[in-house]
Amino acid sequence: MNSRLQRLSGSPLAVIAGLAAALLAVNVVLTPGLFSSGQLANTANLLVPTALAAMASVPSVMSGRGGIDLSIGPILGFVNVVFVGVLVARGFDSGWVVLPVCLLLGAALGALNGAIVAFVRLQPVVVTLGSYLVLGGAAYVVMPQPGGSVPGWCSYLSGAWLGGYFPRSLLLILAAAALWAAARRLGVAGLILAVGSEDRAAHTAGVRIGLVRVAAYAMGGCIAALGGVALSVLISSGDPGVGRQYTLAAIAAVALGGNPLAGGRGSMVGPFLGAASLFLIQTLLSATHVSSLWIQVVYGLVLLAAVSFNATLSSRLAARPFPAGTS
Amino acid sequence: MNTEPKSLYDPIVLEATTGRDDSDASTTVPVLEAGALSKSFGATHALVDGTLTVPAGHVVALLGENGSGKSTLVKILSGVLRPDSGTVLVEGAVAKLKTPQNALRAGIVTVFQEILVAPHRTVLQNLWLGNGPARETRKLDCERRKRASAVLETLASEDIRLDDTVERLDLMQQQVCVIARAMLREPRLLILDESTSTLDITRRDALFASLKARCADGMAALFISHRMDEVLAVADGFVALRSGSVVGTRSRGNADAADLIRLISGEVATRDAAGHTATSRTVSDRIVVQARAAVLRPGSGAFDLSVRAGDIVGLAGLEGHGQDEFLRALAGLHRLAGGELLAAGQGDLAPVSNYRRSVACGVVYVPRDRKVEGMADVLPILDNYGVPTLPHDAVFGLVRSGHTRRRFRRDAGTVNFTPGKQQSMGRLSGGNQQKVIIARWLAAQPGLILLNDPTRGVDLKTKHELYDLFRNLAAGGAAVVMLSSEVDELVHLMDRVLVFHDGSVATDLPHDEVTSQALVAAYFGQRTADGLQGTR
Repeated sequence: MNSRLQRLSGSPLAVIAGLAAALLAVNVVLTPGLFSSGQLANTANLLVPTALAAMASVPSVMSGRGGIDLSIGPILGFVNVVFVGVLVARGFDSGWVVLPVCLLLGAALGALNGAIVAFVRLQPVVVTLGSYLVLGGAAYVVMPQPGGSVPGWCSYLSGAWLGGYFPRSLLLILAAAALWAAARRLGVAGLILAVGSEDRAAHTAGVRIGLVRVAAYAMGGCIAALGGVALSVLISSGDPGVGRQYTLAAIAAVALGGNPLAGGRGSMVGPFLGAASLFLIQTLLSATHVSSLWIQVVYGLVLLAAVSFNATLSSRLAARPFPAGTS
Repeated sequence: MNTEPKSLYDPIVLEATTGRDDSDASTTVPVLEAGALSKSFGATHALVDGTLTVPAGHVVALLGENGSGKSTLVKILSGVLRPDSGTVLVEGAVAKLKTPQNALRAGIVTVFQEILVAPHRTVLQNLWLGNGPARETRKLDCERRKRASAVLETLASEDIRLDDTVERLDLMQQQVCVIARAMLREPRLLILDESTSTLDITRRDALFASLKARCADGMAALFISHRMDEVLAVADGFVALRSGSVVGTRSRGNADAADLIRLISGEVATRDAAGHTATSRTVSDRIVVQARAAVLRPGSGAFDLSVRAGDIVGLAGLEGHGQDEFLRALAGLHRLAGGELLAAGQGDLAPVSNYRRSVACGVVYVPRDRKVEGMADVLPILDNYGVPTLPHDAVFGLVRSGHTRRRFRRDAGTVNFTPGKQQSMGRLSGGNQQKVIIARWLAAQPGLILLNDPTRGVDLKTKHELYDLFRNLAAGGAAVVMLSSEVDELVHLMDRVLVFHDGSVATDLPHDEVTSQALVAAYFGQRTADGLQGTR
């Protein structure tokens, strides 16, 4: 355990944990209201969809070969409109029906992305940019206007336990974490990391790398579906226009969380903390009355700073390769 | 005059008979019987009618030069490549080897030449990659640790910690991990493709001991190594490949190094009658390349050498033994691990610093992979020719295309290239592409021309035109340093051949001593004197 702590202390995870803790401390001092027992649940509800979008981006990025899922945001939005505009509108509002259907939908959409990437062998950026556009548009087809309502259990999820100090929407984060823990236990996560680390090694060792990549994207879709439910909890309605904005924030959070976009390593906790940091930066800026126009600029600068910092950190560990020939 | 080498060989024995006299070897089915395996890549026949039998309990060595078909055969047996035709029987049953999973399930486990590890994963995870259930439980973990430690111990590598990530290990330890992964699969046929190249003597001997122990239990192994001493130490049978075909087999009892080298090189006559023009050239005393205690990679041997203007020097060796690094180092594209390298284009000897400086000094480099490094295949021929020497065509900073065209006509004449209607570089034949690339550099008036396997994929006629061109360039006072993987080329064209072995110049053969046997012997790290004397 001790050596494990030592290894953590120099890792990107320690960096993002430090950043998140510092931001939290500053926020608590400057805007204690957001963290009061009355407000904490609302604050958490705002954070949870972004955090889940970030966690949903993790498996595809881990699987290597330029793996990325740009359609995570639209999957959130699509699940939201299917939930509110189709399921609830037709009277299926029990959580026992809605949750499995949404999770399966998300997993299927992710698996489709993964299958095209793995078996048609197209660039993940192009494939998922395609599904980004398709799902973003399909949300409007399913539900042209924002509206509808969510069942009672969603309102319940937006509340809090323990006198307001345990927002119930965090259950959705815990569900995603449980999903990932199961994947680790079953070895799927290990295979995703091995394939992402060096897919030729995995291939020659008899791992079905295509199926592993499909599983990675499907798992991402599944977590994105939890994000879609969280989004429904947040806005208490269906809105075809909100999903897409989560994609860029999610990728920023993954990078900020220290997961290399080249794949092969990384964690679930890092991107979660990355998403939390981005969120806390936003609240900090509004608390200090900085114009909201600056938010994106600051996001970008923090991201660049963190990624550069991580890069210098890891280049101290590994010697730099000699630059390739310039002939 | 025409010595047909094949007539001197034993008729091809399909089953590797062995020196062992275990009587049940003839009654039990061999572990592997590969019959008539063929594989072509486009017009290249990588493997023709590959036939191979490996009986249980035996180590069979697969021998051959670069491009002889060894790797193709290994890739087919391990399910990475699918053969165009042929069958593979494993213990008498037809094995369909369409994917690596198929091969592994059939009991064929391969350690590839390239060290394939998942660098970010731990040693333990790498050792069990793809083997057994993927799920992680404490019981499985415990069991796996125990067996992994046991295998590492048999490979004299207890020092490798199971929980370290593989990227922290050195190359030898990574190699051990790959071998251990194969051992943990309990193979029926273990294929070791150049798997000993990074091992030290302790680890290598441990591997051989473990190999023997497992073979005693009925495993069979296919062993490929560039070291003749290793092959002789460990193999029970030998199969030689040349140009994609099996050209002979030997068993332990009736093989020695000289005999095997003759089998691999396929030449009995020590010299060919084909003419050589080196003598007609005057070699000046001007030194254009000098290496002082040069070390190509950390850990490899240091060497000194010099090359004079007017020489055509061949660089040879089995793939990956340092010849490529040396050539690239001369061009300023590879940094030496130690020592000093000086080169001169038009001027005086100066230390090689970087590629840009080299080009400015009249040292030009024609890369190996012309498609990727040498040309822009969508651009017209003229642009491919003119771009590196564009300043020659500039008048007050503006490029005059007429000037480029004039220059091209002149240099195309020198390289014997006739511009046809075809304007796009990508549509030219390989030989003509190479001519355009060489013509491009003539404009820089090079004093030292570095060529990285320039005739690969070039047809015979064009090859000879290129040879004439190289001779003319050398006669004009330039030095030509050329990496070649073709034995004929080395024998006939070169004034001198430097054979690389283990990252250093192992043998420096003057023209008169370059024979294909001497080359192959040097490739495998053998001294020519070791056994070829008697055959001359």
